[in-house]
Amino acid sequence: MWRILAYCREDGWAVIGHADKVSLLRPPFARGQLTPLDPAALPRLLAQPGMLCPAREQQDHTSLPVLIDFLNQEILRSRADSGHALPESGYGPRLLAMAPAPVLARMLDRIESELLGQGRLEQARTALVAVLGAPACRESQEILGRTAALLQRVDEAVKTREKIRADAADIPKVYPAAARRYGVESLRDFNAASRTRNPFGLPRAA
Amino acid sequence: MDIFEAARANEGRHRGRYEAALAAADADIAARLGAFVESVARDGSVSINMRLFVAENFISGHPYENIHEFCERMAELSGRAAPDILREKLGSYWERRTKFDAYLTDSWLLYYAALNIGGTGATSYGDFCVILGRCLELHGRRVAYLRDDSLNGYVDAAAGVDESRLLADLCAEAERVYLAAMKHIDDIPRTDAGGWDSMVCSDRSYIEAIFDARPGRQEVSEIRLPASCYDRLWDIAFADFSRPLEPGEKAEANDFAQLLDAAGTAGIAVRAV
Repeated sequence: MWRILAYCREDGWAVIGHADKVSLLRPPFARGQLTPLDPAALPRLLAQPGMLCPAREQQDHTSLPVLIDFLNQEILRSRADSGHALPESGYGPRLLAMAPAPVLARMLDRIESELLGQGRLEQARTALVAVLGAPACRESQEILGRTAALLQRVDEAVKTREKIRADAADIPKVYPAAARRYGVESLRDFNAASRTRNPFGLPRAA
Repeated sequence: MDIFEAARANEGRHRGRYEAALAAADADIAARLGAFVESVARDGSVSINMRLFVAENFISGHPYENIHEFCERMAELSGRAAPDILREKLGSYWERRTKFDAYLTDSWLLYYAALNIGGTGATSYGDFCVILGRCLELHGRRVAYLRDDSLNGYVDAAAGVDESRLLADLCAEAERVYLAAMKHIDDIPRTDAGGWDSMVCSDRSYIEAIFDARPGRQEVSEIRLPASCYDRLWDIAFADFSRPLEPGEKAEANDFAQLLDAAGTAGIAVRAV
């Protein structure tokens, strides 16, 4: 049994009791990290603004994922209750608009390696447009130039992908079994994505 | 007990102890102690570690609440009695806390913070170390410092208040440098000067500052947070372009954006350390 000893509805910080241990759980919950709590720190943590004891029926949870789901729902409910419901989307562009230059430089590194590098072109383009909208980007020739260059690479990769798709008309002839199994369009998409990442494209059948 | 009067009554005590220790110390150690005192005098301020959503509310102009004000507000919202909410909130620590509060005059008006000479403070209470300024008394309030955390240092497990220790350790603002020096007199010579900030204020140890008027955002000179936390918050911004965010991440991203916005408007620097 996982017990919430105290928690804050607004941000999801929670003091958890499980297997005779007391720990702190806090977002991001995907990491599922429980930090052991020093008993000396507990009184002041419990005295912090927002920390409350849950209602009796909300204290015990059958597993950590169930407990995390409860905390996530409480965050959404508390924000809605206060009249400031959390927006569905738009967090990235909103934050990047206030990002200083070193943060933007780090973002560009990640966009290049994790989005562009993996052929996630639409996501890369959206992120780059958000970087372009940041005042700190427009104030730095280096970041502005790098953003523009990456956008150009995205455009070129999109064109390459479209060309590969157009050139892939003979895929059903080369891979008839795969075409029957996965559908011609799926194979063209897969081929285009692979070619964008890998200049050698799909391995040809022997 | 009026904690501020008791602190004032100790005037000269901490300075006297420090000067005696200085006179008895080797030249090398005396020089280190002198450098430490200079460092506290130069960089000393008072900080409150807050969770992101608390810091965001505060910097956006909402009042910072002490535990009693929070319970009163919850009582108004829920229709329950504030003392019941306080008892439930503090659980097994309720008795120690109420005994200490009952010992102090006007305890429901008090706010708790810590002496800070740099760094990010006691982050287990919140990553956002809100620096309130060098001298709280400049803003017309009374301040007292305690060598240790009030509950952990001066109230025993049976909820008894160690009055003699409390009276000996209380210190007014003018002598906080000497209180800090005497608390760390053994640590100062063997700790690199770069580590003095975390020696003075961290999760392990801090000098508690107690004051009697609500802090305002106009007093905030800076907000510091650990670089790892700062990077993690920007990682959420990046993640928003590549996957759906969980509600906890959305709340953090939302609050961080609002904090940056409000801090920017108020001219308060937000700095990763």
